[in-house]
Amino acid sequence: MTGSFERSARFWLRAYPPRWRRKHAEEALGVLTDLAEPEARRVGVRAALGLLLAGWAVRWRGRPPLHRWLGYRALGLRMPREYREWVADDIEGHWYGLRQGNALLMVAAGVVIARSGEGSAAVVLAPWLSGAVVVAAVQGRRGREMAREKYLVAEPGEPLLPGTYVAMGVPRPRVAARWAASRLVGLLTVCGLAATGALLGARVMVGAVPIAGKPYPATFEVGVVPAGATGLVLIGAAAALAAVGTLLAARVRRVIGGRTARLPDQPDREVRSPGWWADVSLVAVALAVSADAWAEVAGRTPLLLGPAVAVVVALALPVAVVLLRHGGALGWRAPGGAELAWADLRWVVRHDAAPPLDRPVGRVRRWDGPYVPGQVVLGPQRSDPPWPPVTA
Amino acid sequence: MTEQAYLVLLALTDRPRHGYAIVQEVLALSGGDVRLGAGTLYGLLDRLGSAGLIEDAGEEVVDGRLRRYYRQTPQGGAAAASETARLAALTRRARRVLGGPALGEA
Repeated sequence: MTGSFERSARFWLRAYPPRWRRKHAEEALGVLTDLAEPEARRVGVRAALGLLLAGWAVRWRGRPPLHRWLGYRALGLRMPREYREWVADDIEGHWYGLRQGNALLMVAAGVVIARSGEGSAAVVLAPWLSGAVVVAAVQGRRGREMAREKYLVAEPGEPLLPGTYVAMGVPRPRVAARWAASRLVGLLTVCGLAATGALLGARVMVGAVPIAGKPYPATFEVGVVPAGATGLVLIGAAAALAAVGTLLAARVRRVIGGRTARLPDQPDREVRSPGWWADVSLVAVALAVSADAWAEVAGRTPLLLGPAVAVVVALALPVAVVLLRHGGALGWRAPGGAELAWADLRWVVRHDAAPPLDRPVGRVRRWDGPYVPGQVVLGPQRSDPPWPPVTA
Repeated sequence: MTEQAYLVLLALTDRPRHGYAIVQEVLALSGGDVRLGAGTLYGLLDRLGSAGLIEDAGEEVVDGRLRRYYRQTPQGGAAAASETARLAALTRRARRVLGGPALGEA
């Protein structure tokens, strides 16, 4: 069996739903290999077509009835037990955050508002689209965790088979410091450049407008006025704040070395980098801020978000740079050799003390055995840790 | 029961077989007429399995390939027998219609 044949076979087997593939993909791969010519490099057209039709037939036969599907998707009702594997495929599958629908609703709302309002559609749409990306990413991650607890967890008394979803203690997930520090510096830099551009180029801002025939400044309206030199004044203020941020960063640099040299080992922790969805969300946020800065420079929006972003960047960027450089000097490793967690850096900076030990967290996961006949899922016991036990 | 499902059920009569062995046995039983593809085979196995006519009979790894064996359930055996009886009765009637011994009954 060549590697390319196996890749081709696995590709066509994707026509079957994941629940089927978990059970049959390996043996089906064997049958496909046995049926193919000895030197075949890919699955033949007839075999591929057969897999496609048969796979979709399995999907069709295994689908829940329409009213169950609507109740699940639109109202968040639980499915009967016989469709739990279907729900598991839905929750664990790609694009779960999008299937939840809220992100698509945000896009639709943005389109409606952009069409009905005045001004540039792109500028109106940008924050809605960015928000939709972030919502889809968060719901795909947090929502999936919550959905496992709601829809998939086995009830007490059910047989405990491999693949059953049960609550169990898992290592506490933590974001890798390397990922967080580099993304933070990148995002703050982009936002800082956008905000600087907005402050330098802004044409209008919110200000006091005299009312005709009444004494000014005793009476006035709030309205849009020319920005004039306000942007330059704000730049100066931002520079002063950046000086404060640099002082903060210097303090952080003094305390951080000693503390990170004595970080405790964390046996109940899993350090990882978020997936591509997190990067896409960050890019979406950066694009939304840049779109607003552009709108402020073009005079379509009064100078408002630019100064707010400038304040945050001036205070936070120097500290973030210090953390990035310090983490890099450590090789992104804790003293025990484990990967450095962003939570540790944050704790050290905020408390100037050693971070506490992480404890396992209760999560709903697939039980992967071993199978013991007669073993059932137990309900919570008084003596339990914060998650229910899984064995009889 | 379709002819293909019947053939798969027959192929599992004497002993448990894995996927590729079922394909070969069906080819032999049908006199070379029915060559099952993987998609068709697993569709049939799924349906026969959910009807309770066949069941898993363990798995083994041969040459790095996973082979899962299937076997007939008692219910499956009964279904194969009754389908065979139905086909035999049909054949008898067909011979009568077509003129009897000319087809080799005598």
